[in-house]
Amino acid sequence: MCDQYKTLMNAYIDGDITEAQIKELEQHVAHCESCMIEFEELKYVKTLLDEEVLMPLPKDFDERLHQRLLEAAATVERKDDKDTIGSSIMGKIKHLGWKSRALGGVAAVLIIGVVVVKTAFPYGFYMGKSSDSAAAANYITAEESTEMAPQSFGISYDNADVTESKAVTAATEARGADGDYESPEMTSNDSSQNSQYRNGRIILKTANLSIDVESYDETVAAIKAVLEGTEGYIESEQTSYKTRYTDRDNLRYGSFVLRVPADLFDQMLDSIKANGFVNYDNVNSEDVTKYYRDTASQVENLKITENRLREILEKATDVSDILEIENELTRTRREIDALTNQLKNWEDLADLSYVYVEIDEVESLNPTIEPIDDSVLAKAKEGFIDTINAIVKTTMEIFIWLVAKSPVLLILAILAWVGSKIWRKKRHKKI
Amino acid sequence: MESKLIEKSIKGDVASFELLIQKYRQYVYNITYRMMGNSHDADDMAQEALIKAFKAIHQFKGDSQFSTWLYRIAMNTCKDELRKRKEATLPLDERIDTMTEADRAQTDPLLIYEQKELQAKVQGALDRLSADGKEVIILRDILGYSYEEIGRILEVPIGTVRSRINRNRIMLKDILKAEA
Repeated sequence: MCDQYKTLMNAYIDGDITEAQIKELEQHVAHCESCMIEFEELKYVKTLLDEEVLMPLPKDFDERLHQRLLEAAATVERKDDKDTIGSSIMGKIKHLGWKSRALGGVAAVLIIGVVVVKTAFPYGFYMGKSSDSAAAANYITAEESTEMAPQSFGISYDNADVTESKAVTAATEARGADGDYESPEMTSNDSSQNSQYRNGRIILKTANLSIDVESYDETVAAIKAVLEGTEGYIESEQTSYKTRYTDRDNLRYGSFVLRVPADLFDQMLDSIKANGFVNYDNVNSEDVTKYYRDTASQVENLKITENRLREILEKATDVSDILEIENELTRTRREIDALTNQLKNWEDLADLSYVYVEIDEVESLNPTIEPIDDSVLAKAKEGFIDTINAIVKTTMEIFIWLVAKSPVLLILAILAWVGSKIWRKKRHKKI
Repeated sequence: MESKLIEKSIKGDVASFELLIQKYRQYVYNITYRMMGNSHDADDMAQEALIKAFKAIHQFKGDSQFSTWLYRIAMNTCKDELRKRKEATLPLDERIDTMTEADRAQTDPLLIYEQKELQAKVQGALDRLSADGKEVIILRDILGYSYEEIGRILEVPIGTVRSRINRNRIMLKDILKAEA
């Protein structure tokens, strides 16, 4: 019965009411006590709700959100895009005739192929395989619809082991290659990012080499010849004569630490090995691509944080706030520097590989039986005399010991003799 | 400006998304706060909702306002969570008690006790409304959206919004009255 007025009350509260309706409501409320109470109470509740102040955001809300967004950004492109591609393709294929279905199948095979290739060679696309995926994407674009193109690019990077910022860069690169998506702002942004970090694999190579050579000087000259005119250099060099170990005094032994440009690494090893007989050869490669990219994206994230902090700093008016933000800025800056150094260090190690070489100069690489000369006989004689001397000396020492200990030995001998007599007598009695 | 930020967000740019939600995040938090009834859950839900929005931003078609779309995600996130909890059968009375406690602990100690208690009461009463009821009251009476806007946010006809608001306001009033 009063329901229609309750609706009007709400309308009144919300100001969504006409003059006539207000009159109608007022008239009713004047007569109906329950409605009057209801109306007053409703108005009170409304004021209560109006008084509800906006709650401030919890502590660290933005920081935590930022962290999670970064995580989401890193995963969303890898997983979600693949999902949507799969489902949208399947959905579209259903609507096509058998001919187009076959074409769609080809496209699907292509996509799967690309995915498989990327899985098998997760880093491969950095070196220029992005053109493959761009081509595949183009194919689909023509085949299906244009809106799928950006998703298709997802394939090209969803398996690459890269983090958020890199993935985005790769995506926009792929788009740039397509031509349709090129926007001057994005590309300039990209090139600045690209020049900052390496795109290929970061491999740190080290070689250990030990070699016997006939000509020490030639070997050293060969090493220097390879390094000349390049970035490479000899980090340390140590040469000594082996007079202690051989009779000849012109043989040398040396150890070198070389920094060799990555592209000359193999050439260097070959040209050293050509000089003699390799005793020990060990090449070690460490692929730090993953760590490199992780660190690079960490740096990027920190830079975003830094920029945000700067923005906040500009707005801050409170001294304590400013100090706090500046502290945080310093900390972020320090972290960026440390990580950047690490990156530079890796780049340096990747550019200039370490090669440790030990060169042992020998008279001849072909083992020969050397003729017995006088010195050998003389040595034998010397050894013989030494041995005789040793025997004489030992005999003398035994004699001296016996004389020196004779009193004690005499007593012991007597006791032994008496003891044995007694023992023998006893045995006789028993028998 | 906003559409540019949305575009960049779709490409996965976190910084743009953060700029984009700058204006709305406090409202998102307040929505989740009113829906969940305590700051801890509200915090979780607000974060959850914003992450969801970031992941799904490519689905935002631009036929509604971004804020509307964002608030809808916030609402739905809370409703999903409340439904899950309901299935886990938590005794209703107990939950309200603990929430009011938590709520009290969270409020600014400098505020006058009475106001604090009144707010806690309103929140307590809100908690006893259904999720659907709660959301219309929050949108209308706390965030101040018009019926039409609420209809768009919740994707329900305006008549439904109107009747839900009518019904739930009266319920809220009755709950408050019963407690007083």
